[in-house]
Amino acid sequence: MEILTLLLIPIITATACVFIRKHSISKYVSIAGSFIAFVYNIFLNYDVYTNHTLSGLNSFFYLDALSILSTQIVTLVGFAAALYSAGYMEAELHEGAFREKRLRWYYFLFHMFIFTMLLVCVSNNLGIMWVAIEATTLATTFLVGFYNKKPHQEAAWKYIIICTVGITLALFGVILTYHSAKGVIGEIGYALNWSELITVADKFEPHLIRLAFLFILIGYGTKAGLAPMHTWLPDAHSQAPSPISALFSGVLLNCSLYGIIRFHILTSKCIGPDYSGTLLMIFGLISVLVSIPFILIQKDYKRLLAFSSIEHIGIIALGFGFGGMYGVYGAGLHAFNHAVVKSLLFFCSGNLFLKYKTREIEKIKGAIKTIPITAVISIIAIFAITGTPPFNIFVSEFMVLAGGFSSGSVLSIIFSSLLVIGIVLIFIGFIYNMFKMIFGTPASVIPVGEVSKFTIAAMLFLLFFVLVVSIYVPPVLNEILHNIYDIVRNA
Amino acid sequence: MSLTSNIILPILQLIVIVGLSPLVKGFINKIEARFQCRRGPSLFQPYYNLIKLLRKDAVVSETASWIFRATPYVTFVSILVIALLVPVLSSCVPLNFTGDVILIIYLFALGRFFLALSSLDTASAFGGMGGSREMMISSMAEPAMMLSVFTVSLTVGTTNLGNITSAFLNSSTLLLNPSLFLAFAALCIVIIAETGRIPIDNPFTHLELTMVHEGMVLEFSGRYLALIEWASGMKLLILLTILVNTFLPWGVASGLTFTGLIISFALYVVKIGFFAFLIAILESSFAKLRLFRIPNLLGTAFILSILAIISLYVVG
Amino acid sequence: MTEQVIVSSRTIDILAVLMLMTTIVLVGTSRLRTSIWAYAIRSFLLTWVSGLIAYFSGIHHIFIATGISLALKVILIPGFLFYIVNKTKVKTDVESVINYTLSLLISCGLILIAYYSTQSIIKFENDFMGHCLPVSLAITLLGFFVMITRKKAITQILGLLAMEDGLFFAALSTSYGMPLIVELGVFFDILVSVIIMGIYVYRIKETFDSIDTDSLRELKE
Repeated sequence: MEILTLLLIPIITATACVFIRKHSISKYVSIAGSFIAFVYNIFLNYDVYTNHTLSGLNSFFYLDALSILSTQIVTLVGFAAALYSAGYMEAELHEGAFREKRLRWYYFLFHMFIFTMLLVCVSNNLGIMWVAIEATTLATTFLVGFYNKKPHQEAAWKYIIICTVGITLALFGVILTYHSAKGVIGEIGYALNWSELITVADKFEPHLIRLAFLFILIGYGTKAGLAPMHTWLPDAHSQAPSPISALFSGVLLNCSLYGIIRFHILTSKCIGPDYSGTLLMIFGLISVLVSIPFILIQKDYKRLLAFSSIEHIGIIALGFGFGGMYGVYGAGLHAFNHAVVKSLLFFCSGNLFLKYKTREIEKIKGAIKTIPITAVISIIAIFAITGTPPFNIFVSEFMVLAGGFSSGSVLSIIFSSLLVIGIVLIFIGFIYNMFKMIFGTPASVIPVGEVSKFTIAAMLFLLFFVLVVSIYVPPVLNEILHNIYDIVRNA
Repeated sequence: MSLTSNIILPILQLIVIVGLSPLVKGFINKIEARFQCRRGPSLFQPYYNLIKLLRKDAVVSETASWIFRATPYVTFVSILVIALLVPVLSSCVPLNFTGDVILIIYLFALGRFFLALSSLDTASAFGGMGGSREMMISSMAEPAMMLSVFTVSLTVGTTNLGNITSAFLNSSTLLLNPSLFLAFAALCIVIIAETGRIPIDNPFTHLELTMVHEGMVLEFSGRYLALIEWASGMKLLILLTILVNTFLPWGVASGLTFTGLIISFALYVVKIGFFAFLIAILESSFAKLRLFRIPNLLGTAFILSILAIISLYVVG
Repeated sequence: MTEQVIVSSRTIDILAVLMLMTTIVLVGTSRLRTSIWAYAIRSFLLTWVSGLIAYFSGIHHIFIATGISLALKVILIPGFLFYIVNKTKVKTDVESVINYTLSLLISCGLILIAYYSTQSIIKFENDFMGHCLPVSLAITLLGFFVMITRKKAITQILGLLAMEDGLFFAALSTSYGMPLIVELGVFFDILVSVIIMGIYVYRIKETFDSIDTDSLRELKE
C-alpha cells in the first residue's frame, strides 16, 4: 500500500498539471508534488531500513535496498528538476520559445516520466519492469522534441527508434527468462516475479540464461547509454530542455542500469558471477574509452556533459562487474553521486544557455562575471565530476578502482589500469573545455545577474548533497549500500 | 499393368494434354476479357488459330539454318514426351520406367534451348533480345524449381511423380508439412515465369521492346508457329497438372477403373479450371514488372525454395 | 503423438511459415502500401495462431490476448499507418540502402541462421511445432534488417513491428505467452509507441519536407 501511494503521487500531480493553464500556479503544484514524493520516499526508506524488504499489492511491488537506492535518486533529482523547471521554463516562456499552453503538457509528461521511472524501480514482475522501461521512452520522446524544431525532431526520432529497438531486444531476454523459470516454477502468474526467481535461479537452464542476459544487456544497455549503443544519447541530452537532460542523465540511465543489475544478480546465482560480470566490465570499459575523444574535442557543452554521462555509466557498470565489497559499494555510491553532480552540472548548463543563448563552448566567456553564483557552483561541480579530491565522486571512483585492483583477477586489474588512464584524460578535457567558459572577459552586451531564483534554489539543494556525501556517507545511505552488497553477494 | 492399360492410358493422357491445352488458354483469355468488361473471343478461339496457322505456308528466312526448321518439332516432341511422364488422371504413369522429375526439368530445358538458338539463328535483333531475356529468367527460375521439386522428393523419398502422387494420396498428414507449403509457393512463382505470364512476361504484347517469349518466336510463321504455340500451351497445362496432382492429389485415380477415371477427370477439370482462373485474376490485377525487377520476384521464389529444403532438413 | 496433435502442430507450423512469407514480402517489396498490408496479414496470422494455441492448450487468458491483438494489430495499427501514409502524401516507393536482390539474399542468410541456431533446441524439445521458434527468430532478425536498411521512416516502424511480432510469437510458441498483465502492458506500449512514431513521421514530413531519414543528419560531432 505504501508503495502504491508513492506511485500515485506523481500521477496525481501530472493530472493536476494538465488542468492548470497558468504557469504561475502549475509550477507550484509541480514543485509540491515532487517534494511530497521526495519526503514520502524518505519514510519508505526507513521502512526498508528496518525490514530489509517491503512488498505490496499481493507482491506486485517489491522494494529492497537496490530499488530503494533507485527511488531515492529518482525522487531527489525529480524534486530538484521540478524546482529548476519552474525557473528555467518560465525564463524560456518569456523568451517566446513556446506558447504557455504547451507547458501543461511539459509538466504532465515530466511527472509521468517520474512515475514510469518509479515503476521500474518498484515492480517485482520483470515483465512489468520491461513495460515501465519502455514507458519511460514513450513519456520522454515529446520532451526531447519539446521545442519542435529540426534538430529537436531529429533527436526525438533517433531517441525513440534506437531505444525502442534496444528495449524490444530486451523483451527477448525477458521471454527467455520466463521460459526457463516456467520449467522450474510452473505455469503460474508470478513466474516472472523477481522475489520468486531469485530463490530458484540456480535451477535454470544455463544456456537460456546466458542468452537472456546477453539480450538484456544489449537491450537495456541501449537505454542506459552503454557504448556502442549510446548513439542516441548525446543528441537527446543536448536537445532536451535542461531539467529533462538532468533527469535523463542522473536518473533514467540509472533506472535502465538497475534493470541490467537485476538480471546480473539472477545470472550470477545461476551460473556464477564471472559471465555477466565480465560482460558488464567489457561494456563499461568500452563506454569509458569511447567517451574520451568526444570529451576532448567537444564544441557543445551539453554534448560534453552527455558524453561524461556515458563515461560514468561505464564506471558504474565496471563497479558491478568487478564485484566484491568495494566494487559493489562503490558502484552504488557512484550511481548516487553521479546523479547528484551531473544534474547539478546540467542545471549550470541551463543557466549558461539562458544567459548566452548558445550551446557552443567557443562563444561563451566570463560566466564568473555575468552569473557569479552559477559559475562558483559550476566550478565545484566540475571538480566533483572529474573525480578531484575531496569531492564525493572521488570517493566512489576510488572505491570502484579499489574493487578492481583488489579482486585478484588479471582482467580486472588491466581494466582498472585502463580506467585510471581514462579518468585522467577526461579530467584534462573537462577542465580545459569548461573553464574556457567560466573565466575570461564576457562580451559587453551580456547583462549581469542570475536569471531566476528557482534555478539557484535547485542548484543549492543538490550542492548540499554533494558536499554532505563528500564529507561522510550518511548512515542510511551506508546501510543501503551494504544491503545492496548483501543482495549481490548472496546470489 | 495389363497390356490394354498400357495402350489406353498413354492415349488418354495425350488426348487430355494435347486436346485441352488450347482450351485452357481460351479459358484464361475469356475470363480476362470478362474482367475488362469485354465479351472476348470464343473459348475455342485458340483452336481456330491453330487450325488457321496449320493451313498456312511457313516463311523461313534465307539465312536460317537447319536449327530453325528443327526447333518447332523438337519443342513439340519434347513436350509430348513430358506429357507421358506426368500423372494426369491416374497415379500410374505411362513412361514410369524411363524417367522421373529430373528428366522432365531437362526436357523443358531442351525445348527452351532450341528456341533460344533459333531466335539467334535468323539474326533478327528482337529475336536475340528475347532469347537472352528468356535465358536470364530461366537461369533464375530453374534453381528454384529444382529445389522445390527436390523438397517434395525428399519428403516422399522418390523422384518419380507418379509415386509422389500416390504417396500423398495414401497419407494426408504427409502433405500437411510447412516445407511443402514453401515449395508450393516457390513453384507457383516459377510456373508463372516459365510459362511467360504476367507479371514476368506479357503473352499479348505487341511492343517488341518488352517481349520475352513472343520476341523469340517472332520469326516463326505458319505451321511452325502453330507447333510452337501449341507446345507452349501444353507446357502451361503440364506445369499446372504437376502442381495440382502433387499438392492437391485428392481424386486422382490410383488404379485404372472406368468410374475412377471419370471422377478423376471431373476433378481434374475443376482443379485446372481453378488455377487458370487464379492466373486470370493475377494477370488482370498486376502490371508486367520492369525487367530489372524480375530478379526480385524470382529471388523470392529462390529463397522460398531454399527455405523449404532447409526447414525440411532442420525440422523434418 | 496422436493424429490430432500432429495435425494441430502441423497447422500451426504452416501458419508460422506463412507469417515468414509475409515478412519476406516486407523485405522484397518496393511499395509502402504492400508492406503495410503484409504487416496486417502477418498480424492476422499471428492472431490465428494465438487463437489455435489458446484452443488446443485450454489456457483461457490467451483468448483475451488474442482478442486484443486482433483489435490492435490487425485493425488499429495498420489503419493508423494507412492514415499516416495518406496524410503525409508520401511517394509510395520505399527506398533501400542496398538493392533488393542483395537484401533478399541477405534475408535468406538470416533465415538460415535462424533455422540452424535453433536446431539444437528443436531436437531437444522434439519436433512438436518445430517451425515456430526458428520462424519467430527469423521474423525478428528480418525486422531488424529492414530497420537498418530502409530509408523511409514508416518502413522503420514496420521493421520494428515485425521484430515485436517475432518476439510475441516466440513467447507464444515457447511458453504459451507471458502472464496476462505483462502482455497487456506490452500491447499498450506498442500502441503508444506506434502512435508517437506516427506523429513524428508527420512532424518530420512537415519540417523536413520528406520522411527520408537521410535528411536527419544535422546532429553529429
